[in-house]
Amino acid sequence: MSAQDGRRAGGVAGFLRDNGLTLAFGTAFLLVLAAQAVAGRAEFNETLAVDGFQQVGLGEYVLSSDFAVDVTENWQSEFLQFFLYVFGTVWLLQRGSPESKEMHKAGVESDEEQRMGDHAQAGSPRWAGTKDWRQAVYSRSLGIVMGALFLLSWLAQSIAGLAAYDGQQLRQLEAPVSWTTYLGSADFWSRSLQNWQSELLAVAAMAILSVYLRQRGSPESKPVGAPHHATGVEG
Amino acid sequence: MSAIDARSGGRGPSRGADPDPDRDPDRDPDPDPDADADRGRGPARDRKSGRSGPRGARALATVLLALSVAACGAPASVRGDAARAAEGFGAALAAGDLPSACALLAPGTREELEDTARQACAQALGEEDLTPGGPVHGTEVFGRQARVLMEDDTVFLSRFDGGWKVVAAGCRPVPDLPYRCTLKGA
Repeated sequence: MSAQDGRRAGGVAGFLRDNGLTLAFGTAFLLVLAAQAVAGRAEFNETLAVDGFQQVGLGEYVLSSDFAVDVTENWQSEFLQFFLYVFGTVWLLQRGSPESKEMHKAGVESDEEQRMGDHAQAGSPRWAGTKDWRQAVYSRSLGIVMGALFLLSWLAQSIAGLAAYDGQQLRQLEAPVSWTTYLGSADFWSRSLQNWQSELLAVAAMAILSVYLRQRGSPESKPVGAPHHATGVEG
Repeated sequence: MSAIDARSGGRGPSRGADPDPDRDPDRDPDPDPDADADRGRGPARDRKSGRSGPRGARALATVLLALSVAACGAPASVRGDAARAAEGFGAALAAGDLPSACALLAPGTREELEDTARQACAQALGEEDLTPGGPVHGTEVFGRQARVLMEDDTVFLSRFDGGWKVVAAGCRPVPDLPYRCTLKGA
């Protein structure tokens, strides 16, 4: 980080500027989640009305397993995307993409390149300068956390999905199923796979399109004038 | 997730280690095409991509906590309410108090009964081949839906503003298909 990057403005305006990306996407997340709840409840109530069941209020729907499974099935796939991307880009390259490392850097790289152990610098995180398990954990912490969040949200999807599925089973005068049975069900895998395929498509599209296309000013893009074959260059 | 998503053992004597009628030897092998027609897809799912940030972790933790609490079991009072409604329906049938039994029917079930029989509910109910369910062996509740396993019957209920109502009664399991029920909604 350069000295210019490190300079922070004071006050509310400074806070908003320093955290604009997080605040904007965080706020949008909450708004869209609320909109999903409204739309999801309307759709759920249509189903209940057709079958002659009591419709539910917004508060009850937000606390329902039907809403929870619709939310968590998307969350798990997002964290899976990041987990695969973080680990995959250690070894997998894409010539010309700013999402890829340079072609000769495939792999975990040397301690010197990664500023680890004896090569840690003054501003390096403390665990990066160690040589024991702390370094091993910290050097993989981003992927580990993303993987753990994926597994936890996938578990949440399975629990909420089971409750929603069993509620639907009862509405259809069918017997509820166990968690283990649900894990092998078409409903569980349909929800999972349809999200995974979309995440993988998005990653593949970003990797290849960023080779040839540019977005002026975005760090996700190469500089507009960068050649197509330039790899690992961000704008 | 609703806090009332859960299953419970029965309050009466246990029928065995596995109360699931899917594995109950007392099966009716005759599938019911009408019941099959009741099947329908659940609410469509939201799905999408795009990158989310680590901000999701806090919300995820909240959801996981709620799910964990819910997974620990539904309030006994909720399961008890559903079981009592099923017992009340059976008791009304046993006593010949058909108006009371009708009052415990879900609106759609009552309407279907009257439309099919072209009679008032109490008269139509009296012509149905229904027997009192007897003691409750198990109750499962998911959201506003419940299944109550009784000695001589399986009853499906749903929770309305006026409490738990019988959606279907006189139900027998059919392998890989919905229950075949003597009394049910359209």
